[in-house]
Amino acid sequence: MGTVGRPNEAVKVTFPSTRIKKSASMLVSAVLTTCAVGAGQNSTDASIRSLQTHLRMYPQDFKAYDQLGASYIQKGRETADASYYEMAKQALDKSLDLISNDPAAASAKTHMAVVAMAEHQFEDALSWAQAALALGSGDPSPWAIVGDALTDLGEYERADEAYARLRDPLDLDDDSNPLAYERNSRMAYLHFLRGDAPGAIKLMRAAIGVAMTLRLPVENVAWSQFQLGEICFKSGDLTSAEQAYTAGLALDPHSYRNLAGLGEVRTAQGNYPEAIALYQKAIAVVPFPAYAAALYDLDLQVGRTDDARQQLELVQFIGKLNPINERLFYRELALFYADHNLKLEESVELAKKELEVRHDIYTWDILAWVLFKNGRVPEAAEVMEKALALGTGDALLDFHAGMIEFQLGRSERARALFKHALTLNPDFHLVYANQARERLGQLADSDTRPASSSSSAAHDLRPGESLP
Amino acid sequence: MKTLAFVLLLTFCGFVAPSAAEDSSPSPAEICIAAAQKVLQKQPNRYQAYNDLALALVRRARETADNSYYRQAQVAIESSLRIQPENFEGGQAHVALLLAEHSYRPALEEAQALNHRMPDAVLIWGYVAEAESALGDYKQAEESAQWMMNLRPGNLPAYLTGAALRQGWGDIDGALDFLSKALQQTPPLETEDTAWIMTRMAQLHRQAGRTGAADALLDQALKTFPEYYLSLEELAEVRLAQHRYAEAVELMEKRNRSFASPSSFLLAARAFEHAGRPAEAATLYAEFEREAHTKTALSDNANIQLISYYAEHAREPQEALRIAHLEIGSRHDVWTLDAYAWALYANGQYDEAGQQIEKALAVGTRDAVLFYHAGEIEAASGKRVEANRYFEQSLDLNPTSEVSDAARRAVNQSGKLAAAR
Repeated sequence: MGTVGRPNEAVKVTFPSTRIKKSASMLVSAVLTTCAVGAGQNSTDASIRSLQTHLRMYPQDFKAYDQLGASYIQKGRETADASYYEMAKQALDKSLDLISNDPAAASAKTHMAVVAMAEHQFEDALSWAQAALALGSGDPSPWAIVGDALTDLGEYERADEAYARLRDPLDLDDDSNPLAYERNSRMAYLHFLRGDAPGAIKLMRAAIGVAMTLRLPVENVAWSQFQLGEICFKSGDLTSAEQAYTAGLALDPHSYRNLAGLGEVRTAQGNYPEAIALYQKAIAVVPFPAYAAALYDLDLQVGRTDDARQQLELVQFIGKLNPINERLFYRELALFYADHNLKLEESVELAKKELEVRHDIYTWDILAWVLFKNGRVPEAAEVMEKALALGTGDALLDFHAGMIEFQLGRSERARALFKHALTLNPDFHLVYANQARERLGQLADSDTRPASSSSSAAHDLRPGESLP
Repeated sequence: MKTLAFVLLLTFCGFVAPSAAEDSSPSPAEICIAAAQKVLQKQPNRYQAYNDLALALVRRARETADNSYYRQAQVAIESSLRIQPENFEGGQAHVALLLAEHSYRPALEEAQALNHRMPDAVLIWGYVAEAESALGDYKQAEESAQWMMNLRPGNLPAYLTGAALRQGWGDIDGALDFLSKALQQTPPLETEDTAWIMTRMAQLHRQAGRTGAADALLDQALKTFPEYYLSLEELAEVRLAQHRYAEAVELMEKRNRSFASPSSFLLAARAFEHAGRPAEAATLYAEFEREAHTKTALSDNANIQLISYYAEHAREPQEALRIAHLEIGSRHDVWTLDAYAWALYANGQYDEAGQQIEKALAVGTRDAVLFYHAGEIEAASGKRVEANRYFEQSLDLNPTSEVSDAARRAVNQSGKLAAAR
């Protein structure tokens, strides 16, 4: 009877000293993280080869299939070749065929979510991330993908809740761990969307501080610097934007996002030759249609029409390289076509296709813009309200909305929107910033003049020149 | 309370709308079943989909108390293993099924074989731990549970397994701590899992005499997964402890509308008895006895309750001991040891009863009924001081337990005897 009545025994089931693996957490930040080519590319190739050899010898190793999937994802990010995501899926499927109902399978399911995000299959990404969480592996990092997917689905409050769960339950003081980095960097974006740029900048700087302290992979830090630069640029703080992009490039000279970001700053500063060079460098790393589109506008601006023609072809070629690319670039192509008065009907189709999978404010914005360019102005105005719903401080949104209001003859609102756009960032766009100023001038000159009576007037409001 | 294996089946099979709690919405298990069936329609040879289906069916059994899902799960597992013999998760699903059916010995053997094949599969360690614990091998169960923690710190199944063991060792607050951590990790859409964990927590609070805390948790559990039979049963227990017998009756009537079990008949009988409705109580006791008796030779039985029933209520101590012998032949967990000791006591075999109850108490479990049984057995052996200590422990632990009145009477009686001396 010696044991009877003794007080509560010491805890028998204890935790080992290790915490959630950094690598596991970092998987999630990879959703929005890119990495450098060059040495990284070689190491990814080597990793793929080595895992393939290993799997020939140990075909039952579910972890190796998962790692192979992760390596293909990495390769996909490095090259922007979407076919690697399909290969990643095959490897991850193999892993999940071997084990799928155990916490050990959480990593493969998380990687599936990453692939789905990369392929803009946001509902699937949400499902996979929730499936990973349901296994109860103890790693909360799939919440990051839940939040990311919800953000793209336009469910911002639920995204807030998801990001709030990005905490290490074993680490009460978690303001300086990788999860704090992931949480803050993502919450920064939500703050920005809600019009709180100072709060967004503060959070992103905190995230970068954590990333630097923890010596996170350079591509993560470079990505964060790019995000910071974007927020600063949209807030009109070109100096801070330049500093952020430059810091990102110092860490990772091949960071195409930072190259393009700096190109945008140089454009705003009127330094077109340097802007062109930066966009060309970015395209040499990853030929995103958005970069080719920016280069197209710059080439036209400096009178290089032959080069511009090449960019035009490049934009359309990349956008339709394969079915996955087509899906990935619905939004970019729609915007490009609308901005340049090309294939306007197709631009509506593309924007609507994007809306089938994505409901964030920027998708509503693009739908509104393409409707406007197609002369469907009242419809555009209705859609634009959804884009403005969060009060996002983005001059381009205000400009789009201003143009729609202008066309509808709602001068007061148009004036306020143009003013707000230019207050946010007087150099927000190579062409549109000036157009906003012109419209304000017109509104000041002729407050009494009726709005255009032509329904096709939208076609005259061409932001960029199109090639003959 | 269903076994732990049920909750070690966490899988997410698709969107559950936030309105999942509404009657018309499919439950998490139903969504998993539909998802697996959809895959099988397209890919009839996808063995993993059969495994997913089997696990979902076992989950559905937990959601509804309808054990007919086990047969369907078995068929799904057979299909999986026919397509891909010896596939790991087919074996895993079979272990889950065996545990759900309380077939602990074969479950342990199969789980150990799987564990040798894939030692880093966390759930298999959990299945091993559960089977070891049910068979009374708490030391091995502890090691297995520790493996779960070591492989993946802070994983949810490890918290659940650890909580069950801590409860067994009498560390109620430690068990609550683990369950609370498990609850934090459970995705909100997993409504039934959430309710299951809350119900477990409520049970622990009630057993520690904290009926208010239990009440609040059960209220939340029933909002999360409405009319959940496990929560209804536990709430009825809380109401009995609070002497709110009419409400307990109402709750058990509601619970027994579908897939009543021997245990739920017994609980309902107790509720009616306390509520002063002996006729209904008698009917339900008879129903319990009939149902439980048909299952005595099965692994998924109600033998522990039946032993107690024959020993106390029906006054058939010999039948209690016969069933206790049956049960102790297959498992030696704390509750089986307690029931065996109680049956021996009812048959006047006090020395042997004392040995068995000591084995049960050695695990460390802190339970008011267990202490009360120990007190009665010691008293019968003439060990008044020890007996009194157990009665007091029973009352200290839970002053509102089902044996609290009897324990109080025993303590008073002991006091009077001492005064007389």
